[in-house]
Amino acid sequence: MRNKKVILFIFTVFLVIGFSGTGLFAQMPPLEKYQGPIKPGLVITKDNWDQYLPELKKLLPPSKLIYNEFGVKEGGITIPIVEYSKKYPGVSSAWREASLKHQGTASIDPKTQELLNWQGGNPFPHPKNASELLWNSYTLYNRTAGGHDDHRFYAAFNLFDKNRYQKRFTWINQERRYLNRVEMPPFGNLEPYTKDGIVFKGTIMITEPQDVRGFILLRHKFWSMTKPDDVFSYIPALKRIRRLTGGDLTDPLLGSDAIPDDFQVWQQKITPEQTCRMVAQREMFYPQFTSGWMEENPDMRPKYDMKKTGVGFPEKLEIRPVWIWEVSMNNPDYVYSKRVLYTNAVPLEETPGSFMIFWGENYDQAGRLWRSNGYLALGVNPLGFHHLFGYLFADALKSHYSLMDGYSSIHSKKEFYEYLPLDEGKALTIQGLLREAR
Amino acid sequence: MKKKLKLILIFLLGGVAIFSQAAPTYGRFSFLDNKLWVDGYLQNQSSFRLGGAGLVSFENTLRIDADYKFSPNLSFYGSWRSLYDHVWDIRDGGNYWDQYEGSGDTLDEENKLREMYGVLVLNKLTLKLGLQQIVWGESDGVRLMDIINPLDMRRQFNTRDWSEIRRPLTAVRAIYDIDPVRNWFVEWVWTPDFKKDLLDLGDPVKAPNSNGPWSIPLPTLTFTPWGAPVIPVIQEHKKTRYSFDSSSYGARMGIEVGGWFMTLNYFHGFNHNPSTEFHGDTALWMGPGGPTPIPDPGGRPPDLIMLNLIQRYYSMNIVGFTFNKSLGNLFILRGEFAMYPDEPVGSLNQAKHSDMVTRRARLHSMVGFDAKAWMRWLNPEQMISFSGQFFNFWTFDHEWGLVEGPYNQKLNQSTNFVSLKVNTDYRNARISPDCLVVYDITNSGWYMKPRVTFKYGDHWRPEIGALIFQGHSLRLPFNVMNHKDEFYLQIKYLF
Repeated sequence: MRNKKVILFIFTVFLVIGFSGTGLFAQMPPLEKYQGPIKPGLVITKDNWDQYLPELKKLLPPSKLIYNEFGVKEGGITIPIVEYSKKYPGVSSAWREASLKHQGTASIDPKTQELLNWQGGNPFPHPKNASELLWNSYTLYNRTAGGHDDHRFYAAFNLFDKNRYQKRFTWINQERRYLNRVEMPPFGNLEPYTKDGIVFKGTIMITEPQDVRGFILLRHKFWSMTKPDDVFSYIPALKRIRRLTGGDLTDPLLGSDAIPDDFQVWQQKITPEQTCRMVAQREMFYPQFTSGWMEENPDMRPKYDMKKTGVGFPEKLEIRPVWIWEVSMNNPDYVYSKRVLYTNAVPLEETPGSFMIFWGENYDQAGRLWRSNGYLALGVNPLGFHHLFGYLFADALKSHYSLMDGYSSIHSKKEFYEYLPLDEGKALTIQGLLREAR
Repeated sequence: MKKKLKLILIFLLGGVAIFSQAAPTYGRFSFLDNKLWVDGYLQNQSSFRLGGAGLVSFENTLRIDADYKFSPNLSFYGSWRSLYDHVWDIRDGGNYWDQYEGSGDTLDEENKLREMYGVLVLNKLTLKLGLQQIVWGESDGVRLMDIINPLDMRRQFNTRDWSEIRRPLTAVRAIYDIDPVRNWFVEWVWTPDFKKDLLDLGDPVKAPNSNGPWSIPLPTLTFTPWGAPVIPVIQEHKKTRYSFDSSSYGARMGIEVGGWFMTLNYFHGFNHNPSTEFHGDTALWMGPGGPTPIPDPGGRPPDLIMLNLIQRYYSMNIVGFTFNKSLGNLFILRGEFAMYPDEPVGSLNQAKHSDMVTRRARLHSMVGFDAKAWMRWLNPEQMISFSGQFFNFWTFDHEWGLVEGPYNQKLNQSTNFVSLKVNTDYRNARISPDCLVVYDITNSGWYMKPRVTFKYGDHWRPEIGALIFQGHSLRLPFNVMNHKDEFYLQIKYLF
């Protein structure tokens, strides 16, 4: 009898250790408050960077620290530290209401990690472990920073080797989510999901330069965790639509440091072999939001001048609680071995709670920090929809940067009502985009 | 010669320098309140033929593209290309160049609209009217369903990007999106415009030095058993460029079902390379004083046999099926099948086919794949892309004597090709190597095009590459290009 108890105890201990590796039963770490000298009102400049460096290391993800040092010292930008603003919502009111309304209905299959019985909103408004945080934050389902029911976004990708400008391309990016829509009509679950299990479609259309103008990429992502993405592209040199492999989404887009799986930090498909774990909850720098409509608030969009500041984008940072967690790919054929993700940890009930992943650091299969990316500046419209103005994709191994400078139709009153909700035929099919391209 | 070269280079570099200063970062030119957008490129391509031949092209090209959006539902697009090949100015004669000296009259210059059409969108219907390229099918490097526009193969044969060498046709194209979510559409095409493939065959009146660097050799002269030459006299049965009789039409429907994207195609058109009909021969006797024919003097065989040949463009019907399907995360399967129920083919069986042309049902098939693979030792930045294709051309009701092409090469019941393309990018896609190999299994000929494109900065796109052909007999498509191996340097400036 005693032996049986010992065996049961050992078995239980192994079980707990084993599952804690997957993060399923890992508890959320307590908040580590920042108590150093950096306070709102301080401006980080070239002159005081070294002085505050030990503190900046606590407040910035490692790759962001490298970029900001570069921007401050080489680009000559200054970074004002501003008050943590509780004025602007982190999600739309419809999304927050759906999250709280359906609280307690969703669950996670412990074997496959599949999300079950998700009714809408963030499935776990009060996450208890990394897996719940994963499903809350996952950008294909969460509605933050562009990941709204629909969005349309224009940007220039400016490529830099360190601070030296190399080249650029411009795009129009449009996306739609088909499951549990509460922000924009049509609401609910749309036919591509109900018939084919498609939860997301995203299109990219390149508008400059001449040699790639008209290149179109269309991505379909499925609810099934085992079904690979469907990818189509229109290649102007061939004048033909070609089907691409799902693996093409892990190749850099037109020489930039962005792979489509890194859009919105993490658009990679969640697969059963991935495991996740919490690392910490800490007060860290978070990009500040501006608000309004661009037509009514001309200062809403930061004024980036490449000639003056090179790769340095004008940023304002505030200090907020942040979850730090990581996802291991456990797949040697994937481009990365793991992602370390930084998520807004302000509770959803509070403003600006959102579960938004604002920064990600990705490690290669050899375990080296490789690519990182995240938001530099964001703007929220009066309806609570927000989107980015500045975004960075960085390659730590090469000190190469792709700086995205743009705006969304979410920021423009005129375009918001003109383009949103998207016209499926025009925005999310290659035939429709071909009409717009030419 | 050197003076001319200097002038050309100064002109080009000067122009480019002005553009560089005007636009240090790339931006399309916009006019008329952002309704008209203009861009394009300036390009020089110099080709050097191996084997001591030296420079065989020094092409300067200007291309201008313009988009005019009249309204969200009505737009116009135009593309103009001017090309001047200075090689005829630079190379004034010389031992090797003598053979090409006369071809400059037809090949040194081109000023043409590449496309010009309007697009009208009426709800689910899109109408495209005007000069355009229409591309169907799934295959690369060998044409199966992509047969609507003919090709201009007078410069570097068919190795250039086909969008650069398709001959645009004035056409009406209507696309009706039945269900765009499922990629379900129907497309109709009608063109009253007829153009043929352009191959450089030289000018028989100016022979022998009217053949350009990429000319196809004429069939070798044959002789009767008693030694009299047999001379083909070819008349081309020309088609009117714009007429109802010359018009071609077709339709296709595409749909995606269960992850399979498929199209069904039908096209009625004409072969872009004429079939040669035999219309008897004429025996000629020469007088003692010269080449003037005289009546049959009796008692001796003719001094010359003239073959009376007519080149005719036959109508054809094509029924096609294409598909593609993603299998797993790194593999695409694609295929294309084009059935020609009545394709004209040559025949040496004169007893059966007096004009030496007959029709046969032929199935042109391709099955291919696109795959990606990590080879981190070769490229740690991104995956390597592989694209392979297998082609089969099957002739139904095959019989002895079926031939194809200008050299009457034997038409096997089954003809096979394979192709492989490998490409990747380095240094943030600033260095992009790729290599295409096409092997003609049946005729043991192959062609390879390795190239590296450099994409540094917003404007400059230099490219170096080579064209290598191998084969040992007078056969199309690749064998006849043997000894035309060359490498090229292309410098492109985007604006």
